Amino acid sequence: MQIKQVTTTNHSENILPLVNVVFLLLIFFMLAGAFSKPDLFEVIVPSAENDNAADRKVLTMLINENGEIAHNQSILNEEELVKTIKDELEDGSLVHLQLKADASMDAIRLIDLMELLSTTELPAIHLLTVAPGSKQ
Amino acid sequence: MQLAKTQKKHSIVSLTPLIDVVFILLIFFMLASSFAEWQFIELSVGKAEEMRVDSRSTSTIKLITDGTFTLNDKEMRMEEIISIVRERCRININHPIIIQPVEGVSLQSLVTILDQINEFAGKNISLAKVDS
Repeated sequence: MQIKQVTTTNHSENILPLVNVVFLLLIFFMLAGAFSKPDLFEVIVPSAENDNAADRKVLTMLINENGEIAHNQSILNEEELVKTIKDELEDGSLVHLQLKADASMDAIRLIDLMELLSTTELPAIHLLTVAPGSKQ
Repeated sequence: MQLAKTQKKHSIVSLTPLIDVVFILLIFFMLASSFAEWQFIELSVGKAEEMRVDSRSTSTIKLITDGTFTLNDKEMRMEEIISIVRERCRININHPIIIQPVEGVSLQSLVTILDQINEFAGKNISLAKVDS
């Protein structure tokens, strides 16, 4: 009886298409993804259907569900918040403030904050939202 | 004269460590990249002031809880409120609208109603606290 000889194939040739695809994926994620610093606390922003694209380079402050405000990895009290905004306004770099507020936060807290910010010369707040159903 | 035969050699450097590194880089970029598309609702910061409201010429939407709303102190469904306010804004684009969330109402409820009103209303939308 003659036993069929098993031909050995070159493995490195077989995985070349896989390597190509992996390289393409790597390049895609390197170019298309944006890095961001991890926030001080997790904030799930409200969903809305507006189509105003937010600017990533604007001063952004976080507000968690308890109404605590954070900026640059530290929690600010109301005086520090007003001072930070006034300093930024004096620099002339601040046009508006972006607020990344938690969807479950009390809505009254936002009104209180706007009242507080009315003491500065800040013209507008941009309240960040995401499209309904999109991943945050 | 006999020429020396050149032997075809397989590459000495193995591809496997390269693929390992590329996979690790791929996983890193997949996990570290953010694709969230942020949007915003613009809120003008005006001077806070007390105002008298004429209920005939103003639409005051009160958010009692996360699912209960009143329009000029009359309880209605959200869709009814939106259609009435839309009609008023069609007649007068600067029809004043006041949104009053009661304590305990979530920001999501406020944003949902703001988002719907922003579609048709002019710039005359105010946020206010309920008189205590």
